[in-house]
Amino acid sequence: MISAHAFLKLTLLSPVLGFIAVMFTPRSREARIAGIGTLSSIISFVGVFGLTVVYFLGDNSKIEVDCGVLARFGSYDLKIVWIADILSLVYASLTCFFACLVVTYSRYYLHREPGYKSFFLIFHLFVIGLMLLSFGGNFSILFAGWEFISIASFVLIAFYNERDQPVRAALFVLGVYRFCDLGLIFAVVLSHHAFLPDHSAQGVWIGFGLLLAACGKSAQFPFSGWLRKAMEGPTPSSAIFYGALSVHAGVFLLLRVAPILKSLMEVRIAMAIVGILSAVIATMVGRTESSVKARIGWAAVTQVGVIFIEIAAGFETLPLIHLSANAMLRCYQLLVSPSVVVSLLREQSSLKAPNLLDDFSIETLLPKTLRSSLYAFALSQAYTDRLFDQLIFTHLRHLSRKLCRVADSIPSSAPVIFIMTLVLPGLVGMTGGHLATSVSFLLIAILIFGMISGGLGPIVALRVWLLVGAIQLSMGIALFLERESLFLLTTQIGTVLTCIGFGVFASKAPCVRRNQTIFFCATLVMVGYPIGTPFLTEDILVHHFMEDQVFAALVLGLSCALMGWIAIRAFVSIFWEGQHRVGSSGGSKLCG
Amino acid sequence: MKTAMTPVSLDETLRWVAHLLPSQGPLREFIHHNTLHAFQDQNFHRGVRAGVEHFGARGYLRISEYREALATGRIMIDSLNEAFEIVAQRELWDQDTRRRMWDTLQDPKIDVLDRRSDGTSVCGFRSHGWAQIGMRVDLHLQPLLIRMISAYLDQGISIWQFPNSEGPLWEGLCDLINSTVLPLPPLTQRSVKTLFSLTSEEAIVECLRRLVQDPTDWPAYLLECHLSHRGWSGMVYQIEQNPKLLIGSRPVTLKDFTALHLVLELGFAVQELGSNFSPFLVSTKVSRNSKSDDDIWIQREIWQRAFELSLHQKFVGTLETAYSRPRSLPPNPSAQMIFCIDERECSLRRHIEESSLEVQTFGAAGFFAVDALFQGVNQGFAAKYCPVNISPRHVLRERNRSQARVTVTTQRPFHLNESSTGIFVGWLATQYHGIASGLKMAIEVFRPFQRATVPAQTIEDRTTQLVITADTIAPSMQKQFGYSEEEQADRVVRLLSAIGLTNNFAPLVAIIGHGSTSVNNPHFAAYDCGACSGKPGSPNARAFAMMANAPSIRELVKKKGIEIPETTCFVAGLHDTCRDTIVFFDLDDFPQLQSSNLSHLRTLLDKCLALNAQERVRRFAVLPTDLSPEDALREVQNRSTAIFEPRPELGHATNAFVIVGRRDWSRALFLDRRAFLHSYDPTQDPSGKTLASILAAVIPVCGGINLEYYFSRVDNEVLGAGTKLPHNAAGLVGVTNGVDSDLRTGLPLQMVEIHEPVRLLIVVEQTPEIAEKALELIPDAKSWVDHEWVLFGCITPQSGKVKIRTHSGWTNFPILPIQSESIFTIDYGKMPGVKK
Repeated sequence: MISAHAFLKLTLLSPVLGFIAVMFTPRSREARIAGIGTLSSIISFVGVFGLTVVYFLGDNSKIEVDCGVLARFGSYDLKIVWIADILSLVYASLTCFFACLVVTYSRYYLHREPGYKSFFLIFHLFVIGLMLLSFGGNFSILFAGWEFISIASFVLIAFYNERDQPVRAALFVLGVYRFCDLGLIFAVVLSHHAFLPDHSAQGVWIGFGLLLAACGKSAQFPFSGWLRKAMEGPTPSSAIFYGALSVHAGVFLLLRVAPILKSLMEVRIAMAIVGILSAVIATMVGRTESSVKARIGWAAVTQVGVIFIEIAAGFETLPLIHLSANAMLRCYQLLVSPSVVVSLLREQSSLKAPNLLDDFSIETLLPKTLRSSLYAFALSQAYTDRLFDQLIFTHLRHLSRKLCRVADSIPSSAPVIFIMTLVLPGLVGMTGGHLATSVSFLLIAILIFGMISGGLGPIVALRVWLLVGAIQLSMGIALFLERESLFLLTTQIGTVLTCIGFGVFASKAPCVRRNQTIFFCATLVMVGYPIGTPFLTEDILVHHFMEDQVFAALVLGLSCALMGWIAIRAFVSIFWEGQHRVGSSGGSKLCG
Repeated sequence: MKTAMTPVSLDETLRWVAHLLPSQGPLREFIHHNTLHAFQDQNFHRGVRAGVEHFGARGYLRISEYREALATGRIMIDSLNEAFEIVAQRELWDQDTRRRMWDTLQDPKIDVLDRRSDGTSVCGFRSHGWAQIGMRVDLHLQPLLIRMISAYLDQGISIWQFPNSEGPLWEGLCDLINSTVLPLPPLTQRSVKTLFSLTSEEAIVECLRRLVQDPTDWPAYLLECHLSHRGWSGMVYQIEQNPKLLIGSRPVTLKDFTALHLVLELGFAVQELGSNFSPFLVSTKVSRNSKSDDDIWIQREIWQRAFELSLHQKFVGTLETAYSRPRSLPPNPSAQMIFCIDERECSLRRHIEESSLEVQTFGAAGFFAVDALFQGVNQGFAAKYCPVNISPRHVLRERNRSQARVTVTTQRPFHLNESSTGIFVGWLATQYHGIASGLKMAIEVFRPFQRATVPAQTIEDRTTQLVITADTIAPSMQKQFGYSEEEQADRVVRLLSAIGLTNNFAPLVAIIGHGSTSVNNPHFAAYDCGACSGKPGSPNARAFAMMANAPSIRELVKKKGIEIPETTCFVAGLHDTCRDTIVFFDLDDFPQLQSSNLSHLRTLLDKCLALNAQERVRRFAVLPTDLSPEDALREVQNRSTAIFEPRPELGHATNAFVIVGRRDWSRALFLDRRAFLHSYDPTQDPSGKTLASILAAVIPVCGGINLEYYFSRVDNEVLGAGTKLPHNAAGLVGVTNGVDSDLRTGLPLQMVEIHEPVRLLIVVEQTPEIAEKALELIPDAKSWVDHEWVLFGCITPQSGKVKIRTHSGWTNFPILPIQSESIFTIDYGKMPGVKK
């Protein structure tokens, strides 16, 4: 097992080291940055290969590496456990394969791009996320990987943030991701971090939570619409994310928890229904798409839908093969998508007469009313965009306008709310109120305020962002009152205050590139991305939830998910949207 | 413009709108044109200002960039003085103004004012009006509108096409909305649906009536609507004007598209405000001409003039020096080569001449006077192979040499195959193709240079033959197949006399067209020959060689005064400017060809092509600068087949000059691939008619290339296509960023980033009087010169001095001392963003 441990270390550490190395390389050293990327991908590949050999030489169906307890707070243990079974090995091999490929491709493709370094940084982050996901032995690690993937996705979609459309698309995708993360958080709460909960009463709920999470990441109905919007980054990033790996992360999650799902008929039926709906709708919409990348995106969704059906039907190996094949095909199709013009034009110019394009499709055989109706259905993207847009965003917009008017009429409302946020948990805690419900109640109230005013310009946005910090502080206080872990409270306060300090400082000069990065990192730490104590605090809070607090868990999950979205919305509004309004500086990349 | 719009004047309004839209056609043909063509009837600097204030762009480099150029010595202080003086005199500045302007000229504080102009669509009342009802209408409208127009125009990416896409857009739309039972929001709301029983014209008026308060604002409103997605609107208009641009016919009109836009707007208004609302769009008066604005425009003009003057002074100085040097011409050349005027041939010609004193080279517009529609052996229809301003009447056809019909089965590459998109078939296809494509992908990315599975662009093979002899008139097209003997002779004479090759023929005369191979590149056509409307020039070269070799034609040519010796043989070739290879065609057809001559030339060319490649790789910053010619050749060839290479070659980047004149004095000049070279013998053309025919093609073709590069470079985001990395091919007609966004017109960043935006300076070896006469003969081209969209000068054969044509007549060029030898070399190491 020693060797397995070593290989695992190699696999996991090389992207981390690569990330750090790229971070400290100057922006102008393209060759070195790409070299680091290649090297770290190859080392990971070697690690995975070694693990595979060890796996097949051994007799066990999986290798478990227990790194013990990293930290202990009361009854909560932060355990680090890694698992390498056939599933992780396949997914990790795919990751390394695509990583090597995309690094080589991008090394030339992104030459002279102002964001060359950021691309490789994000790329490493993405690989780290996938490795955590592949080998994570408990929900904490898996969730960490999951979040790394979302954030990498977000930054790459908004790679050209000097334009408005990529930024909006990125926010949309992040919104969908966060909403579906709710399912994962919910499942984590109920299962107390273990993959195999011993109390099956909550099993159905866990199953549905996981299904929701998987649907979001894998762009299944009704969330399919985000995938085509996400094609805003450079072609290789679209290829590896939305053609190959990210879009299959949901499938991986379902396969990972397949043992739980086996006994949950309701969840499996739901999964099959989702799969069928997605496959049918994606095929239909995809057939009407007139741009190459969108068409490939829908084709990927279709096949993921079929994989969902396969998993629901109880297959184990078939989905894995299907996943690999689909990932490779879509990745390739996206990488060579610009050549479609030459290929098709040549094909067409060989026609014996003009105007003889192959206009025939199976749909032309349908009766007219049905045909038109289906086309209208496909053209409106199966109404999913509209669902989110009209039902959620429009109402929120109206609400926010009203609330803003109210907030404007009360002088200095922001400080009041800020102080309330800090004091209330203490008050509630002292009166002996139920920790979870009180905290949740408070969070949700504040978050509504934050959400609605998130997009109203840099000044309001910064205020909202500070509120998120206050929420984290109050969470720390609440946890302290309940479990009296002074150490955690101090670190939490320290971290959050540092973040706030950095953030406020950085937001003074939003045009400077470094400030953007600082603010972004501060945001990530503060909203509980797995790189700081807020993550730990949230995790411990989650740990202390009782099994019967399903509703409370739901509320906490929702507020955590929303908090991430709001804080990043605030970041966008301070740093990116300003440049669209000015519309002249040519983007932050040039003015920094 | 400010009159109420009746249905009658709707057509007129739309014509006016269309004139202000980009005029780039579908990707299939790429014709370089002036991005601001709508403003070309004004003087350059005034036109640029009007144009960019219309589009909301930059018209010059940033002033900080100019200042940097001054610091590095690219702009010489003398030129800056000179430019300042020119403008000061024109503007009649007094001493105070002069001092103030000169002081602010180099003041970095001005950078905050040096912003992109706001543009009509931003300043206008459309977005303003919608904002008042609390709606950013474009966020909702554009995705749907673009999805629909793109689906309608699509040439084969989607499988299930827009209903009735062979018919007019509006009819298809009405048909769809009236027959669907499922909603298509917002068009299927009751008060909007009634519009779909009207004609598009009625629908436009009805929508405008309900949305815009004052009918006098309607034209302005329509303009703003179209500018919000001007790429698509421009494309629609181009297709309306010339339906042949598309292979699958799409009888679309700008009127129908306007109607679609407006019913969508009305739909969203109804959705937001309910069906009873009064028109809420009111025009707002925006005043834009402030004093400081005027100042900054003047400053930009001065900087740009100085930027150009610095370059031109060096160039002119070099020309005059070269002109005064003794000339040497091979008395008995062993071969003569006629290349395209293209500035990418400039270096190859120099290498050939330097390597062998016995080879003489010429330059001519790359269609070689053969104005043709060409139909390849595998093509169903003929495409235009001549400059944009000529409408060809003659059809050239290609046929297989062997009688056995070779049927070429074009197989769609499997990765684009639609079978992998469905559910059931897709399930199997995905499994099967998935693993295969994994392998292919690995091979293409890790060992890209073995072979390209994504096929490179066709460069015609040698199994075919052209048909050039005249045939019956094809009744349907009012065109003629082939050329009559008289017409053939006419073309031979036209080319040979234009380039001054009328005597002293070598035994071998090679006519070399050019094309470019690249993969994974939607803008492939922009790399091909500009004088052939963005296609490889080999058919024209082949046709010319056949004409000039035919004995009967030579008889006729002789009657017109040019005697081609019997021993002379013309051969046609194609230079691949990306891979640096030359292939020859139809060699077996010409009995007078002596193979020893050709093999001699081939050896020479192989050497020179490698040298040319070596000169080229210097500009690719990732490659080492000390490559041997052979390694350099391998590098450029690898580039052309790598799927991850966004810069297979650099196209026309850095073009700046045109020299029309004899080659004997310019052959020793190192022009760094920056000059279009056209051969012309001033002694044979006292009337200026030949010069006029040359300039008629040179000015629009080279000027179009130059100005497209200029504007794509100064504002790549608005006037160019932006970086090509996130590009997505939409409907085979254009590229967009991501999905559901506007078409990107102009050139991508990767093509123009090393370009120096300067206007083209045309220098003709002729006296100003004759040049003026020649310009009088071609009023269209003359207007380019009159309004200074290209600059024009003469190098007088007698004195060897350059004179420049200005408003106040022909003036001597102020020559400043030249500082260094390698004056035309751009310092690539200092370009922003270049990393080693």
